[in-house]
Amino acid sequence: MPPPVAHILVVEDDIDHTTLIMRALEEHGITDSIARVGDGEAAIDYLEQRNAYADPQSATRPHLVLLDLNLPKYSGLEVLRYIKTSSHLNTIPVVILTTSDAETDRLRAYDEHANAYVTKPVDFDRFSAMIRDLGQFWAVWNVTQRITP
Amino acid sequence: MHTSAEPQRVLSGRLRRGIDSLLLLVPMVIVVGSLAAIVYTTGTLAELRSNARMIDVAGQQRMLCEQHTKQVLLALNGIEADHATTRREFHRRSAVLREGGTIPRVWAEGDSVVLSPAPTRAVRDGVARAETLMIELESVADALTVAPPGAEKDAMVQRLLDLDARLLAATDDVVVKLESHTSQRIDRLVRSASAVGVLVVLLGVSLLWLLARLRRLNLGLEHEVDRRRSSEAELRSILASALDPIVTIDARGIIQSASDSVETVFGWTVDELQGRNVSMLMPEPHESRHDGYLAEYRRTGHAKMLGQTREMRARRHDGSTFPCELRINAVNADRREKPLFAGIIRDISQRLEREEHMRRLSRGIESAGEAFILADASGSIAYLNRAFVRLTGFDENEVVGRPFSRLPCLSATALEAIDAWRTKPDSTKYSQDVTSTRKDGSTFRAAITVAPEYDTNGGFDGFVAVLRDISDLTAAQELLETTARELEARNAEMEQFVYTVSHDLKSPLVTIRGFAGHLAKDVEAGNEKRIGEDIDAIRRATHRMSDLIDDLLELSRVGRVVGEPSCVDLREVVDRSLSSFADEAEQGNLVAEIGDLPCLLVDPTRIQQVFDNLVGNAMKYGADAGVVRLKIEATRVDDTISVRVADRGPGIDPAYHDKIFNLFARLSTGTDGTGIGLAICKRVVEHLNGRICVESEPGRGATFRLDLPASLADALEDDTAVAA
Repeated sequence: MPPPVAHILVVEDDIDHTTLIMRALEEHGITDSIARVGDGEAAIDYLEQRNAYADPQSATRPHLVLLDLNLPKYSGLEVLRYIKTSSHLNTIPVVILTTSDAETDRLRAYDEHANAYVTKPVDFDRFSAMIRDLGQFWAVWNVTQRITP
Repeated sequence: MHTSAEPQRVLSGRLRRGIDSLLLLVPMVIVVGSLAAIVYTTGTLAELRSNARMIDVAGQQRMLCEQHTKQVLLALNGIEADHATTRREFHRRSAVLREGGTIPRVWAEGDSVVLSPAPTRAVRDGVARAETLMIELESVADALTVAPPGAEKDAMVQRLLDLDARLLAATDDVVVKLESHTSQRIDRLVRSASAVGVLVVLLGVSLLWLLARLRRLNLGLEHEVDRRRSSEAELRSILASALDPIVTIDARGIIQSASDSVETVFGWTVDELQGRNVSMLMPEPHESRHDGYLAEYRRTGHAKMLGQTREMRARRHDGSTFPCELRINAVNADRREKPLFAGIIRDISQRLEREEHMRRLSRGIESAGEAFILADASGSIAYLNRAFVRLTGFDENEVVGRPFSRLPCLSATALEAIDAWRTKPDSTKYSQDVTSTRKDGSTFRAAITVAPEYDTNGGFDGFVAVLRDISDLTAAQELLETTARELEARNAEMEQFVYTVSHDLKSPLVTIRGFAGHLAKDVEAGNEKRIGEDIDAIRRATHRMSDLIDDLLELSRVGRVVGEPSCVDLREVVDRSLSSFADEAEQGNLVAEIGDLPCLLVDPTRIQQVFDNLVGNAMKYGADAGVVRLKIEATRVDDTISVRVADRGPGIDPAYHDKIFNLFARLSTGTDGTGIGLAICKRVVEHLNGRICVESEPGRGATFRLDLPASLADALEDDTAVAA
């Protein structure tokens, strides 16, 4: 019996970056179950299944969140804090995926209990490989507490 | 007690002295009396002896007379008696009496004449009468021997017998008188002897008393001598322990004595100094002049130095000199022939040094830039320096003597705080920055420090307050703080900028490289649909990158490049911003309502950017709602001109009001924009010392309010007035 397909939530304001991530995940066969939101407020709404995401069908609980830091409305760090301080969301692995390699960002992210911090490589091949490895580890190999909503 | 006992003591002293002299007189009187008694007794005894002899002689004389008369009568009767010798003796005695008849007191005794004074006139008269009778008897006896018998001879015999009887009676009378006299004298002798006895007893008593008195006097004197000795010893020990040397000299300046301290002060021992001229302790010119001063004193009896305290220099053994205070007093001025002078020399070098130190301190405090206020232990202001007068305008007369708690240049609150500090037992120092008021009412910032003062025993002795004008310092500090804040803000922006370079600028690069990679693959695979998508993504990314770079440059210019401010009519600025959307206005998609707008003295380029951004944002975010309705107006309240740019667009959640002015902050992903526009607006407004904020609620439009200082408009009015 094949393992259940992992569902990934990509929180990214840059639509083109989202496209790149989704293409990489699909091409490497990690998953095609990907949801995308463009700002921090939408991310929380999605996770809490409210407002625009009130219908549970449209907002499946993700097995992994790929979170950009620089987001409109609530920032990535604020979303991270929300998830990690929420009793029913804190088990979801959150990987920070950002272009920033500023140390302050890294430290703050880990302070808020990010599960991993990854800088987006500029090079296409490395970007593709990074998404593959990230997906492999977090969505396939890493055994998480899969809570079915 | 003391006052009443004193006269009593004086009185009893006088009484005792009176009694003493009286009692001294008593033995003298007794002695004189005794002597008189002895002399008297001796005289009386001589008298008694003389009386005894006279009685004896008188007895012999009577017997002789009786025998003579008997022999004469016997011879007459023809009987030659054997007692012719008696008759011869009688005869011889009467002859002697006759020869010396002029002296009736003389008694004849044998061949000699006894001179014995008769003790009384009666005795003398008796003797004289007896002698006269004796001579008369002798002459009758002689006449009888040759007289012829007869009646005449019988009468002569009768006469002889009569004379004999009278002579016997006279002799007896003399003896009786002498015996009576003797008896009197014996009585007197007994009396005088008793008197002498009493006197001797008295003399003994008084001598015993005198002896006791003398003994007591002696004890008193011994006690006095002891007392003087001990006080002399005390004086010596005082002299020995006196820190200031005391030197006594005679009228020729020769040192007679010196206290032990000369050794520590002068370096000479007492023995070395004694007998030498005191001028050796003085430097020139006093050394050579001193003998002259003394000679002048001996000549006139006047010395200017006596009883005066003078400051001069003295010389030590090693030749070095030191300042001293000299006081000379005459020790025994009453003895003019041999006066002594005592000089007390006080080494005042330390005192002078201290005084000089104090003067220096005082000058320092006087010329200090800080105001010094000294208060005594009771809190009363005792001293102010010049800086206080200069700083506050209050002069000494207005402040000195007043309680510190009413120091006029400090506020009541500050003074209460200082008062509270003073009452704390462990108070060490009080420091506070306060606003101080000058006499003319103007104020300045001052730092006040109050520190307690303690005397050598550690007792609270007042306090010193130092007031420092820190207006310049405060201004500098404020400037520093402002600059620091600005720098901090710039630094934060810089960090944000760097962050942007690493994130926002890298972001399109990731897009370009990623889609370029996909493009190559899609071209190879001939996937035309994806090729179009890839190229669009790359184009978007390059545009975005270009916009970002442009905006970042623009932002950096806002702070760096400052254009010359000029008179800018805001109405014209707004019109220019709206002109970019002339098409929308023409199509009725933009309705703008413009109120009264002022002219401001600002950089025209920058203010244009602000309104371009605000109008642009309203168009960008309000376009979805159809017609964009803009209302732009200005109001003035006090010193602030508020310009409002209001739209009726989707509005902004209050949660994001603070964020939207940050660099690269965006509230939506659906619109193009770099997130720099409002950051530029904020920076421009802040450069004009104003502030920008947003008032909005979701769905009810947004109003951006620019609060600008009215001085930007007033400066313009002033210029106009000047030009007019």
